Amino acid sequence: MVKFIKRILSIKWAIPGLLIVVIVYLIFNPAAEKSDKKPADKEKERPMIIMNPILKDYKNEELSLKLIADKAEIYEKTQSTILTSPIASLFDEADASKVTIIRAKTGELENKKDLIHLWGDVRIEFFDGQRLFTEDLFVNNKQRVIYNSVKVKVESKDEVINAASMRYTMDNEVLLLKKPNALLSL
Amino acid sequence: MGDKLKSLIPLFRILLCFTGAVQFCHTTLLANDFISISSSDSAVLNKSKGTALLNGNVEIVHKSTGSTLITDELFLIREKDSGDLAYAKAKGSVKMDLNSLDEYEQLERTTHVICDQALYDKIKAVAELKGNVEVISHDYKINADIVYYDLEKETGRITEIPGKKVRMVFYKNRPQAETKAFDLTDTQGLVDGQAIEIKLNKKLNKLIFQGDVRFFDHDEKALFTSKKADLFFNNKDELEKIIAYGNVILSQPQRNSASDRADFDYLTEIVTLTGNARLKEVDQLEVFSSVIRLHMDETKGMVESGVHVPVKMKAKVD
Repeated sequence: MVKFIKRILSIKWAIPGLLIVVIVYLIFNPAAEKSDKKPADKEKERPMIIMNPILKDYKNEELSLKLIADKAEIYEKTQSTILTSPIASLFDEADASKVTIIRAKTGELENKKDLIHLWGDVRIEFFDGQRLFTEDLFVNNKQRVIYNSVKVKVESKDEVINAASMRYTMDNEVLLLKKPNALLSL
Repeated sequence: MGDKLKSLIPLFRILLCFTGAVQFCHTTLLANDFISISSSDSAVLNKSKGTALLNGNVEIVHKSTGSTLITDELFLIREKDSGDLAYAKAKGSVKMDLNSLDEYEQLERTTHVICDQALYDKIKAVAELKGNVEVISHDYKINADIVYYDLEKETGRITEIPGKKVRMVFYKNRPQAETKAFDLTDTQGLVDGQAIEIKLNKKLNKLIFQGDVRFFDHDEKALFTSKKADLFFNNKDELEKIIAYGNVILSQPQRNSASDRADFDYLTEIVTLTGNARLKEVDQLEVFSSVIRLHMDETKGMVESGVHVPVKMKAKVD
């Protein structure tokens, strides 16, 4: 074996070649790509896990947010909760039948900021049937806004709008799209 | 003039098509037809009010016709139940290139429109172009301050730019089939009309020029002024008749006339002057009558009065 290694190393380009292989492996390691988005300090902490959690938020004694998920990992140190397959239902204060539903692969409840961060196949179903698709989204139920800074696609009957980012104010039902590009079927 | 009037409607087709209100679109709809709308800044969609406000270099393109609308700002209101367009206003540097099929020639024609503001209101059934309006089609050109059209009554009004008159330049007959754009250098068959206001009536194929009317016929080198002039067109968009009222003065290089009314018949090429009619040929006779008929082409020199109408003549004797 030693002889074999010595023989390999005797080849002039062997060491640079090995280095290149190692660097390429580290950069394109598929396992590293699939790793969770959890911050380093969360990985050190062992979370409390709750299956099928339901979270409700009330405003003026009216249900304003209902959040369900397949699993919740609660990290006490950072006061955050990682949610698997979260579904958030946001209710209109004046008309409870007006519900905006948001689904995603993963979410994080940032308790300090009253913020829900959702990422991975995020989908909003507005009360009027319009749907919004994106990869990353924030919900601030205290300020009643939904926003992001990445590409979005808005679909409704015979209409598709692509935009650079969005901001939806729940109380006045105004959807702001930046750099919109719409296609309307006739 | 049917087409000239009709072509004012396409100005708003692109706005109407915006929300798929296709029942108003006269263009043949194709399968998979669509409209693309983009803006460099933002779109604000108000779900409760059903409004949309697009800001910054708004561009609308209708795929099947290639028609475009470019503006600084576009505001739209949709009907809550049907989703149809109820109101549209394009504001700031509005520029439209509207392509449509000419019914008679089966040719694609483009109408270019420039204005400060374009508006469509379904409830009031009106469409309006406002501020420095310029409409250029293949056979006419309009410069005005406001072009207003009642979609229900199919009537309209074109009003002057303050300090200027409304100007409408058009060809008496249909231009050559291959003519793509309006060309002022080709004066054959060209008529240049100006007035304080122009009224449109699509059902009657009629245009009414009102106030300080001035017409110049390039073919006949004839200039006439009057208080009012009614223009009648056939279904092929060709000028059939002009009836000018009120202090009508007709000037041609070799003759001048004055009358209370003048009927220009473009089919027979006869002008009939009625009411205190006076015709004076340069260095020739001067005719007075209640009715005088003359050929539009002054070189043909036909002059006659109506039946049982006395004629008074003055002739210069050398």
